[in-house]
Amino acid sequence: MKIVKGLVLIVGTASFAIGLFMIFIKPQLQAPPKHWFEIVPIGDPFPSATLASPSGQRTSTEDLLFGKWTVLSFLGSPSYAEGSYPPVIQERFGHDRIQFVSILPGDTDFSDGFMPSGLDFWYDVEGTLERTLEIPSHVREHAYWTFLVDPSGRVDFSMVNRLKPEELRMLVESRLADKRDPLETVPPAENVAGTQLPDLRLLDWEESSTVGLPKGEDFSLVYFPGSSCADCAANKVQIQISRMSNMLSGTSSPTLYVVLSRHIPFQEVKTLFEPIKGRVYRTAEDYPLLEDPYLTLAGIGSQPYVLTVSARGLVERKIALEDWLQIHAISN
Amino acid sequence: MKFIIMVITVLVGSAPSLVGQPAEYDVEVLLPQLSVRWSHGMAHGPDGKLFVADRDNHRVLVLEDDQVVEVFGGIGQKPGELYRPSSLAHRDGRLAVVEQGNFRVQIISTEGIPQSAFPVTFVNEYVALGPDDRVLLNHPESGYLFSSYSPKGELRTQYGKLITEKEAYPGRANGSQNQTSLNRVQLQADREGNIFAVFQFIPLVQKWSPAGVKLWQRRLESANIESLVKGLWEEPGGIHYSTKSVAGEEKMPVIITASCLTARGDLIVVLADQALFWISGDGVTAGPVLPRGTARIVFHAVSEFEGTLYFASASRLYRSVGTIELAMSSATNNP
Repeated sequence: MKIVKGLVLIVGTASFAIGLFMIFIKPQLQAPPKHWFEIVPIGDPFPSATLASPSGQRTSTEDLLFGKWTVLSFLGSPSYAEGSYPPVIQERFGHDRIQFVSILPGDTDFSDGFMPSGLDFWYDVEGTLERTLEIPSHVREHAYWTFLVDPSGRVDFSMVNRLKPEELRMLVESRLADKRDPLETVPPAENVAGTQLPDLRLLDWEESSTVGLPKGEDFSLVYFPGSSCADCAANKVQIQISRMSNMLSGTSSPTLYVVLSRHIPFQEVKTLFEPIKGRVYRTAEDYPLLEDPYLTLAGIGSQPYVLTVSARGLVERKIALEDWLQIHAISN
Repeated sequence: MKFIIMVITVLVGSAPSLVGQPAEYDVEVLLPQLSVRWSHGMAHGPDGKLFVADRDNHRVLVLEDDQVVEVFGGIGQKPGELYRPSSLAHRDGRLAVVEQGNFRVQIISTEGIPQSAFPVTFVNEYVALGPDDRVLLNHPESGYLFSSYSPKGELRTQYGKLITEKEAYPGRANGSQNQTSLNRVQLQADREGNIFAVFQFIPLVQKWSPAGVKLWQRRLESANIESLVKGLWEEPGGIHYSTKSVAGEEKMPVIITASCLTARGDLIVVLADQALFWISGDGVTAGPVLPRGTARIVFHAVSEFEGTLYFASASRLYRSVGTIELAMSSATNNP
């Protein structure tokens, strides 16, 4: 009888303990999985590994990452606007101060792949990094890791994804140009609505004189940013110019000015704009409010857009040229 | 202190002629030269300081007397640095900042001194600070409406039954496809620690006690809400949280874009078409407030101080001007 009582007591105590365990372990079961900060903490040395270049040269992460800032892409090549960004950043801050490195799995065959210039490619020959840098499950779909490593080889920033070009710019500026105050970074060109349009110095069609835009009246400004005018050779631009030309011949035409970035090779595209040449100007200097100077330097064209400007010189609206033309076609 | 005081006249079902005639409000740009980039969170301190999460500039702006007086953050991951801070909450001299880029909640003092941080596995944008240092997040993937954490990230409690698609929109199938999206809520905590859950995809507000008991819920009803609901389900691909450019204007397939509590405990809800709903703290009365004019701005954050409402769009800060005469109608709680 004593044995039975003892067994009942033991079973009861065990059940109670298991119950308590289940209650208290529940939050742990629901605790979040490992964050990437826990895998490679900020401020820790970048994990050690042996690397090989496509030509067979061998090095270690310690040697490769020492002495300069490194933007390191693991398991892929960065797509900072088709690879044009890294050379611009290196040009600005110096090749001796910053490098861009891509580390790929050892069995990657990139012989026919796209290899952006300005990037060093290395292979994780022994798979050490692949094992160390386990991709956290909640971000596994990205399967990509970007690091900023400081000149002592310590991780300054990491992200399981690609960085947007402008984020890379802000990050690098803040470290290499000591722009810790984010207000000092180059203002983005995308949010101009509500701001005062600067007094633009513009060159006319013949490039013989400098003019300014009107004051005291509403107008619209079509702006072609970028240094290569990426779409200028395309039929799309011809169609857009044709539609602008038709629009301007109507009685309800708004006051419209077409401004090309001074970085666009004007002589090469001049004939395209011939139908509206009375309205076409080129900027005589850079205006960061109108276009991203980094993209300009990188030779990356971006889409033309329209600013509607009030008589007080305030930018009321920014809209893609394509959309603006469609709206105008509908309203007329 | 230069504040334009908004007079609010609350008529609780006492003037039938006014009920049904929505009030109107005007806004003006605050600091035209200041560009913010995607703010989903702003909050006032008791001293009138306004804290604005400026996501794509990776900073928190501090405004006082309508001027930027301090900037916290800067892109990064060390304590005090920020990476895509999307929203924030204020309580008792502390800010809780949700960093979408870092998958992290960071607690910083209102002087900008980092105090603690903890990782999260989701990047839902809304956070509230309750009493007892509680950090409240909405994480419907966990099966609950609210998850309560310590400032160091220890999970304390989870509560709040998720709403089903059929409960949200009677007549629709009870599928699980939209369950998580439908239970995305903005959180507001009042002084007593009660939590207001403002559903983004359902015109619905709930109030929960600190002990996890649902005190009331109220469905918002008006002609423009019906239109927003229609747009929600007609959006290709079903409901989802995103923005897109339609002829240069933002179009958001959500119904409620922002919310805040007033100093006296009323809840202000901002709809995707810029209309407001003013709901008393007890949920008994509510009234719509429509924007004047035809231009529509999508506001992603709102805060109130001394009767003036402050808003953030994707690129600017705004504040209300003039007087809002608010006609609130009484209504029974609808379960």
